[in-house]
Amino acid sequence: MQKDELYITASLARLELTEKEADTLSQAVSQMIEYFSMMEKIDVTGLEPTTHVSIGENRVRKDEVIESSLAERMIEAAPERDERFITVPHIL
Amino acid sequence: MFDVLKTPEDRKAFQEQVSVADKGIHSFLELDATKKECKNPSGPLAFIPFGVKDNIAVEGFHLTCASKILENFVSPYNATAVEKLEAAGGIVVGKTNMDEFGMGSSTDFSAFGGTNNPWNKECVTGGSSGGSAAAVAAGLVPVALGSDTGGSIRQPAAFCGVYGLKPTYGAVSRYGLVAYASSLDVIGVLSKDLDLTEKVFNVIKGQDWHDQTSIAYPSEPAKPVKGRLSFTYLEGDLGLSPEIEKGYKALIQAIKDKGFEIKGVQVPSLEYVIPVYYTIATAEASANLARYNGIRYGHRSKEGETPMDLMEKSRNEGFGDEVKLRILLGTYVLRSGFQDQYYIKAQKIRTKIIDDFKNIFSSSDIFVAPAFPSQAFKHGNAGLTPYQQKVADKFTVTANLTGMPALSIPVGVENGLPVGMQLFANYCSENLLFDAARELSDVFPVADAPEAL
Repeated sequence: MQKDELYITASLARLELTEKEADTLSQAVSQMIEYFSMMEKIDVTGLEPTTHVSIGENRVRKDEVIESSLAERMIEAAPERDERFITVPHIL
Repeated sequence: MFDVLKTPEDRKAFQEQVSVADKGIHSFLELDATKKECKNPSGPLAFIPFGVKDNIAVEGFHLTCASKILENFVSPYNATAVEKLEAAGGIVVGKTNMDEFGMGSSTDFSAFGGTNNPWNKECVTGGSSGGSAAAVAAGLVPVALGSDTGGSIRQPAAFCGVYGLKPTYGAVSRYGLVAYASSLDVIGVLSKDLDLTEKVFNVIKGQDWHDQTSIAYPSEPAKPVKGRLSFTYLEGDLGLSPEIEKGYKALIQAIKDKGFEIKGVQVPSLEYVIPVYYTIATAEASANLARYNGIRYGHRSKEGETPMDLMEKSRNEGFGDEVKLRILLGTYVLRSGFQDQYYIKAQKIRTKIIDDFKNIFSSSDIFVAPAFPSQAFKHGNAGLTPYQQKVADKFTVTANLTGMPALSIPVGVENGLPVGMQLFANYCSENLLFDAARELSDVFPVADAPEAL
């Protein structure tokens, strides 16, 4: 894989790569993509793609109110907060 | 030695002895036998100490996935499997080491240092559930939970000489299991005790409203297709090391000697399982790992000036190289224009592989194959490269692609290291795997690692 392709992919994946990482990763990614290309050889005419092996009927639970005390503990896990809000650097 | 922890004194003694014994192995990332009480003293797993892989949520314990990005994260709740263990009386005593986010076959890709194989500390434990396998092999706990996306229970079980069950996909709820590849992930069990492995599986299985893909497991045990267990084994040039070749032949011979029907089969679609597996697993991983962005929980970079900048820097600082590689691969195969070529194609070949195995199980119960082409390899450059490790997953990933159950069993020790083989069965036929393993357990008894407690 060319390095510019790698940078496009990294940006889509929200990864900031250093120059050195880009060198080693582009080699490793290329090696695997090349390996993936052997799938071209196999004929899959008429086969449906399997996305999941156990998708059955959609199941829904009863629409009931249940107690949960998780909210506060979830927000506690945020790296920076202001009372009940999670803070981030300015957006504008 | 520590089969049960009845009293607070037991737990204290356990804590002291295990923390010393684990120094040279590093199977636990967190060990605290005093944190949890037995919640059901008359339950089927009463007072039994458990290790739990560090990608499975246990309330009050860390949940790091062996990644810097979750280094300080403490789980606010229990995974359903853990909830069920505790309801049956089990006591979680610690969290076990792993390859970061389950991505690896050695446990050397842990951000907190690898685990040493209790049989030979110069060797890896296998992975990604290497901490669970080592803890069980070293006698630190009688049983541990792991997770298996492409062989992560069965390969370390084989490397450490213990049993390792990868259940039918959906048989055990994934609620509280940190997602790697959602269509392949499953929680399973590692132990030196076959009966205990089965007992724990029976406790943790079952449908769960928290997990839409969990299944209603049949209450009746599966029956052999011909009345008595029948076997097939994978034949052809499998590229095995001499030790594994020897163990494989011994297993096939033992099945014959016991008077079971066994015939060889070739499975041509196996040639494609590695590209299919890595395409699907990395694609799903790239989506699942998008949630670690430094905003809501986990590591946040100190440098970010805008939210986007913060995400990119947090992810770059928090993820290890192997995780970055797999995220990049997964993002690439899902990019517009490439999807048909890779992801959709892989899913179609997956259908073919499933058809091949359904065909095998229409006329036999157990499919036999090696767990890995070699025994435990050495740490670092003397071992296998990350690429070689991926290619060598060829015998394990099929069970994840098909969703069928598989059990890794020890078949002896060669040159001071265990040899492990796999038994596969049809959906929801775990009972047949256990029956087959039990039939073979007198020929291949579990051996104890040299300094096991």
